[in-house]
Amino acid sequence: MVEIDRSNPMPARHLRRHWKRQTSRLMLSIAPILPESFSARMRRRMAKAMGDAHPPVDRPIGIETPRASIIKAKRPKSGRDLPNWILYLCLRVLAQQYWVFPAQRLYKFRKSANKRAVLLNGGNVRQVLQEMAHDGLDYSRRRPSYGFDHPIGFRANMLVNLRPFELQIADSIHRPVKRQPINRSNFIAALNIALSKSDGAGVLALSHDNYRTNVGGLQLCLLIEEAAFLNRNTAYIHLYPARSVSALAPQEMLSNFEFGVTLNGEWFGHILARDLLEDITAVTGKGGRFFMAVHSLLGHSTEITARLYHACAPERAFFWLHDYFSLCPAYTLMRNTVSPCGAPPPESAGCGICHVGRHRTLHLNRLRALFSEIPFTVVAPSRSALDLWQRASDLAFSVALIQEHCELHQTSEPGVGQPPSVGLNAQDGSRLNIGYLGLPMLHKGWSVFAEVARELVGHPDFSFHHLGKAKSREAPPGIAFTPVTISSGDWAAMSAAVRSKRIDIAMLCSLWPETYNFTAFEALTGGAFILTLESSGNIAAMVRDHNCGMVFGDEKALRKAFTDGSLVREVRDRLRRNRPRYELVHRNMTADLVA
Amino acid sequence: MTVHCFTSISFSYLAKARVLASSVKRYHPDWWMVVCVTDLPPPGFNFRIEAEDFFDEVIWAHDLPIEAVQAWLFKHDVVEVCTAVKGPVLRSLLNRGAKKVFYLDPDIAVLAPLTPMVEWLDNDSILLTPHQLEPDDTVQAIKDNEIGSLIHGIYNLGFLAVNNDANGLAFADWWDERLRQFCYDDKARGLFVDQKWCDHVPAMFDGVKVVRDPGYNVASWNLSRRRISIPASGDILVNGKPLRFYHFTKLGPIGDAMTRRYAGDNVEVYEIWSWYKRAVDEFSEAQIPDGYWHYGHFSNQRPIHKQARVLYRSSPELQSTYQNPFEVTKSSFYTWLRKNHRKLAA
Repeated sequence: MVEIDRSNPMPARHLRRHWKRQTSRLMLSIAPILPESFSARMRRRMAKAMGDAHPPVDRPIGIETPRASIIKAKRPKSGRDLPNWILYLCLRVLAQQYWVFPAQRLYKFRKSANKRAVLLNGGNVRQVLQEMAHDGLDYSRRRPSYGFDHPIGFRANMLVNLRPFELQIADSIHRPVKRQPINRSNFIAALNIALSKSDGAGVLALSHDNYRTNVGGLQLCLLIEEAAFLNRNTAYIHLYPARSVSALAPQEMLSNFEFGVTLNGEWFGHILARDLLEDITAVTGKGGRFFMAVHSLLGHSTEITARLYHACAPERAFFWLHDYFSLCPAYTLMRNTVSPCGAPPPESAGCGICHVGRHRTLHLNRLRALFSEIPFTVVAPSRSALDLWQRASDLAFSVALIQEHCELHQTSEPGVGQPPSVGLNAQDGSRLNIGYLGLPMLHKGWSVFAEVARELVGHPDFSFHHLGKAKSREAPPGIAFTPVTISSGDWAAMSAAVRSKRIDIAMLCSLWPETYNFTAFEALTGGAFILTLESSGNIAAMVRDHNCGMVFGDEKALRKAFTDGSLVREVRDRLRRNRPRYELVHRNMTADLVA
Repeated sequence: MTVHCFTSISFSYLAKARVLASSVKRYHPDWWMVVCVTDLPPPGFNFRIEAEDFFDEVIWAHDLPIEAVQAWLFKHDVVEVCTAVKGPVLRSLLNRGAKKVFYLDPDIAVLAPLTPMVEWLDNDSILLTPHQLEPDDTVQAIKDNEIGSLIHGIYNLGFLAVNNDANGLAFADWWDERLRQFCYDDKARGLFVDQKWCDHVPAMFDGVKVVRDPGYNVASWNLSRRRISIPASGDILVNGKPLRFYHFTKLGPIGDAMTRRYAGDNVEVYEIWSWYKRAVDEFSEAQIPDGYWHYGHFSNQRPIHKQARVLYRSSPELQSTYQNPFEVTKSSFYTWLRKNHRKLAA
């Protein structure tokens, strides 16, 4: 505990005024790390408390937004020592009040306050932060996301940072979009040429973004599907909403709804939905088999999708369950982004406290209307996804079937250019390489990995790796990053990286019920042992099916396995055995279903 | 048969009361929702009951049948007076024929139907929810919770339900009379606003049901013994029973600290708080300044110190001399205060 600074006593009659001033100085110095409203109140108090000696600072003080950077506050005149215990109490109160970003704020505070610490003449911020750390309140870490010792860990940050869903949508609607209008005559000409070459055969595919420029599992599916259809001389038209919205497109957007259009792999630009409907109507229906494949409705309009269906009159329409957007706008089925919810009835109390709860009823009504108009063949990439969807959905559909995205072929020998064995590190008793594969996203289990890495960094048994396209800005120190990009020419890049980095364990602790998860299969073919959580949907199912890892009931059990040594024993034991090796063969998505 | 439900606020609590009312109406759209306002609207804010989506009626504290109401209001601080009006309002609702009357604090939200309580009132006259239903097992929790309840009252008066029968009326009459005279936060004299009085209720009145279901009145003071879960059915459960209403006491750092202390890693508790904070934000009015309370100031906008109120309420002479102590004139209570207790008139 910080000792009370009793040096330099002063007459009691001055003490009260002195402390009042010192507290005001402290308030002044910490004002920049407080929200605007608090700062305003504080300014008024300071004005009152400090009088003429230290006039209130009108500008600049406070922060414009909660995350805005520190703006230099006007320094108060140097004063007498500020006892550490006052600083301790103030910081602690702050931390309790603002456990959203306290570490970040206090870090910034510390950075800037190191100078102010001199100014405070004894209010040694670093020392006080250390004292707080000894009390189990470690606010001195660099980043807040998983550094704050809240009983619910990173979820505390997620909950406090959670914006009301309607504000998120409003942001999307008002965010400027760089429009690149399509040259309609060129597009119609290209469409005619493409369809005439394919004798009128074509596919109209819908997803949420441009699959040729963005990276992810769904985008990979579309790349594979496009290649397969083009190989069969079938025109491939892809549409995505020009404006990215994390819900169905609101009604007010429909009159000017725009698509981004790709035709046979070539991106053409943005086109108004009504123009596209005209063009599609004009060029389709001239013979040949036509199909519709809905991969994602995120940002789309169900009403326009129905009109597209009628315009192109496809032989069959497929609705892919890559996620659970057809059950809830929160397509990962994570209530308030932190807890798997299982898609309960929309009128349930659970939905009532969810940030998207009130939007779900309208969302489902629009989807019901769409599904009643289009006799979809619902395609799930896994049994677990279809089971969940059928349990929670009342949408009408024609047929429901399961088609996995890949096939695992067992091979006796590693492939050409692959190391003879993975897991060598584990066998010779040195560190186990623990890897997180893919984009560092919360629902994919990044925070679970990061929390474990933060706790165990420097541990003699483990070293931590992140393999993916982009490094997390919030990665705790000690995680080695290896860039890996999966592209149409290199779909096995992740498996190869797992092998080359000798990843022994892939931590794929998705918090949501994954419908498929390519990464798990890539980890398996790369030779890694997989750790996952019961909540991870198809990852847990796949781990059980192939006996290729461990499934933990919750994060506590996972962390316990790391710290009590049971994980190391289990993994080393498994890696010593002659494990089957696999090769991943991608399926052709919708192309396989219309053969 | 309409159930009457009322809450009591100053305008600073309007957003919370709206959350409460919307949650009540979600499960009981047929209930008659009453708000008692012990305040006057701040400049620039127009409170119209017709414009309120979830309130059916407003009762203004200054319209209550209380003798020398301005003097009576002055005697209390904001917590005291907002709890003191509960007696007169309960009594007036029962007297005008309300069959069943519920009181819910504005910082409560209903999360499941309160139908079992309505049914209990068919057989019982008064429903009370204790702060705790089972013993705590750590010194910290015993101090915070059990000893806290010994000081502040065994039953949490954030909730009260009364049936309009002989027992209910007798209780309402007694409580109203006590609150008119002794609804103060004066723990040294054994008083804690309206709440501590109700420790007497099970002994004094028949037909009292102490609700021992953990789903009612969940708050930081009993979270140490209650675990919230939300299974795939979407029901919110407390120790396996439906969560009926949650008491979001002390919204802000103190509430956060106490929740953190006793909810531990129970994520669902933080989710419920997160929802509540969003809901309060949504119902907030920018025109109502933080901490606004009309009766917190003299007519010259000088703040009224608690000691000034204590001085006034303990002196029958001052009360008879200054019948409207809020007003500031050459011969007002404020002027007397300036002359005799200068610090209290600062």
